[in-house]
Amino acid sequence: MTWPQADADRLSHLFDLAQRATEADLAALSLADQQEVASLRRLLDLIDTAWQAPEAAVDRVNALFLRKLAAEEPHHPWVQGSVVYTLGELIRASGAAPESLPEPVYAQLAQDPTPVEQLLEPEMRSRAAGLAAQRAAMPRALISDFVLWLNRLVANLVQPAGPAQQGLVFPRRQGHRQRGPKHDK
Amino acid sequence: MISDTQLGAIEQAADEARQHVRDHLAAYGCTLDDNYSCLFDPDITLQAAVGLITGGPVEPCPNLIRRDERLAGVLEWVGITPFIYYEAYDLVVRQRFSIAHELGHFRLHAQQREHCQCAHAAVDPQDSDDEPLATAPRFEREADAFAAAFLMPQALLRADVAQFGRCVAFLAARYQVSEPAMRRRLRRLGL
Repeated sequence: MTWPQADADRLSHLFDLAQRATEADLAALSLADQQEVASLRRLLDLIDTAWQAPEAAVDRVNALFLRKLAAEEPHHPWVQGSVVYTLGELIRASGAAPESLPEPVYAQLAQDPTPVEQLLEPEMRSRAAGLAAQRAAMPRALISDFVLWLNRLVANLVQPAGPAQQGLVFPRRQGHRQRGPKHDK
Repeated sequence: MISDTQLGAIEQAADEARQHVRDHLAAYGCTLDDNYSCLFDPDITLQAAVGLITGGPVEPCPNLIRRDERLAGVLEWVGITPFIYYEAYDLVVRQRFSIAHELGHFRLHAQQREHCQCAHAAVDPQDSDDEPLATAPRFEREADAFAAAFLMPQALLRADVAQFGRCVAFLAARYQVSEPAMRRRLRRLGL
């Protein structure tokens, strides 16, 4: 279907108004155009409401933003998260573990005393986290999930603002899903 | 074309990367048969194997686009952390090749710490059994050669061809790669 050029231009103009125009701008339009702009706005609202970013995409953007913010403005309150010293503290601070991790394994990992600095470099991380996983009797089938989850947690860590301060900062995360008991559906 | 010397170095880098995965997994008390690639282990995903090497996230991303171009995979650096993303809507065989391709950039070109944004045409070209175009950037061809060597280890593939014959569909399914990728690999190895 092709639109006559004049109709296409008009629709394009109204669409532009629906996104940007103020009420004062709209008052100058004809009644028919005002109604059409109102319809377009309702349609755009519906689309906005229906659109949901995948959680992984939200997490990624959030993490990248916080890292950039932490680098540029280390004292910004949004990056004043929890200072963590151990793997267990990091896991507790994250608040969200893979649902596949059994509760006893999670509970054991959440108490793990491995210094968080040992998790920064991949070789050391495998040695340290591998021992922690063995202490927690992690089933072999869950290692993949755990590795990827831990990589994501460590990628979120930032150096604390003070040069002499030990530990690493796990940024506070708004509205993140917390691990909790599973509910029957 | 990539020279035979360079190909030899890439094969070696891929072998070392797989050994690296085995070493990392040993730290988890997870032993693997030395003669068998960790890539066939049902418990260890390719994402986790690559994550063990890079230390960074390896994640799917729906509609992976950079600079208005749809991509198969990217390797991006945030500080010292490498992030690998791959297209969530691609077929699994293509996703696996994209992940291995980005690992290739990490192993072969990481010293530059540059973002690598890899279009579908540069990663496991599906519409051709030919090698990637000579006009493709050299580092893309090298990463593709690495991905092929990582996912289809030379020694294992030679043994499989001797045992099962040269059925591309069977071998592609066994190694979880596309048939064009398997054909290119067999031809490159002279099989």
